Amino acid sequence: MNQRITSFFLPLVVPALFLWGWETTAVRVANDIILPRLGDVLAVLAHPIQPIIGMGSLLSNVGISLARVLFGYLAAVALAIPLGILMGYCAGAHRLLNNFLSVFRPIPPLAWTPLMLAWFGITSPATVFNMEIGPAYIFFNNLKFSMAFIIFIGGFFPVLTSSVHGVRSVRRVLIESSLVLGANRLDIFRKVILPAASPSILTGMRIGLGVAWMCLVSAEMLPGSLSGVGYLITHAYTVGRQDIVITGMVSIGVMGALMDQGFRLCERRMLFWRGMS
Amino acid sequence: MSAKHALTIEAVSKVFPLGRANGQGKTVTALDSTSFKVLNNEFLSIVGPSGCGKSTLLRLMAGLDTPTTGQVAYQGQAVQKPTGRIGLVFQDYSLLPWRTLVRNIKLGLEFQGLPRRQARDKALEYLELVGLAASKDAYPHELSGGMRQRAAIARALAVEPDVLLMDEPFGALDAHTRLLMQRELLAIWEKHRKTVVFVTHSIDEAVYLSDRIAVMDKDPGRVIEVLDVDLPRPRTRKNPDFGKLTESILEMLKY
Repeated sequence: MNQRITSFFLPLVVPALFLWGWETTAVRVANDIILPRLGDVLAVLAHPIQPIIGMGSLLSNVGISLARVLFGYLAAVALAIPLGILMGYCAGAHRLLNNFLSVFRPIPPLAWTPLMLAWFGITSPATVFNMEIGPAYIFFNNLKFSMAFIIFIGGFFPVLTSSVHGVRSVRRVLIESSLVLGANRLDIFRKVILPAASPSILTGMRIGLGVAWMCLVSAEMLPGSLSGVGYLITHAYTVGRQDIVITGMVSIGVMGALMDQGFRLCERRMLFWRGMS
Repeated sequence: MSAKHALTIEAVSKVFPLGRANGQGKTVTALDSTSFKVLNNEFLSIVGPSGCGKSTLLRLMAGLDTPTTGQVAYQGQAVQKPTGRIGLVFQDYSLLPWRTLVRNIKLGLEFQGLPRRQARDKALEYLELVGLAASKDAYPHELSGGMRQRAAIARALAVEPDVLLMDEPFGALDAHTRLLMQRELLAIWEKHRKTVVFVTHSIDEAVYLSDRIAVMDKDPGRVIEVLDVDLPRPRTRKNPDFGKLTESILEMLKY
């Protein structure tokens, strides 16, 4: 009983100390620009559907950011998984592409900004497809290609690397024992390599989503952005509302942690056998 | 003649290139000009010290490797790649960890294109044969080493191969389980009478199980003798001839 109480409260100790330290420091500093008080941030967080600093509600900005991240991230996943599997499965493809991609891997997504602006400007699916002005236009016009590309770059490489690794580290005996059972190449691919590589691919997707989410603020600082949590943070900074800056940071943190947790749940349910061989 | 000989190994050798670390361009001869025949429906064991090329020979028979020179023929046809007619049970753990036992046994039947229901029924039948029917929904990691190897045997048998190759299938098991598995394997073999080629380190195991024993030596790896085991079945290690035969093989290998 005693132990259960301890293990329940243990994870709360550090956050409580942190919040207490924040609040006491904020009171002592007494300067909203350096450190706003805990209550100010909580007040913004407590009203997620109220418009703030002329930018719409916190919730709608989080929603727009989420849509942007998913747009770029899903494109990254859609390209990186098949490409990674191909490179892992086929030595020729690996030789063809590995060195080339290794040069792009270390480039921080943010470094692409000037090129992205030159190439895509402020185009979005809404402008490309000549959508009618209306709610759909407004929504899709938020998904600027330049931002999506930055997020895409962030998500792409972790997924690619882990897909290659996942396919390459399938144990030989699994493939050979299937071959002697009469499997053809497609069988081996579908029934052995793909499931065996899935834990690694899923881990890459989790890491990739984390990186994509981290690219959000830099993506939303690009011209043409008038919404989203990243933009909310930069805009709040220019108008001196540090409480809203922190609110934006908290939103990004909480959303990222929630998505990560969702992935972990998936992993646990699907990949209970991992590490069991 | 092809009716009598399941597998014919004709002047087969296998040479591997050495890795860069061991000197480029150098090679190692795993198997040197080896010839012998496996008869239909016999239980043949291959014994010999580590590095004598037993496993290499078995991989050639399975079609997982091709010989550098010579030919492995099955029913008169050269073996070039695995076809499902010649099964192989590996020493290490080869079940798919994400599939339950029954679905693991089904794997080969799926490759054969058997309809779902039929495949499942057949898989259950073979699980029954190896005494694992009660664990059909268990995952491999939930089973002991002996149970996993039994499942691997069931999986290999379920596709009804003509020949079953076994590469030290009991090598990783404890001594007690090993003895039990030997007895069970014989019981299964007596029911099905498949041609079995069984690679083992253990001369005792070979004498206990086999109709004939191919004895191999290393440097270079080759078959030095093929012996008939004229002991009545079921065999007992109390039979003095059992000990004599074991002894003579040990002498042959200069222990």
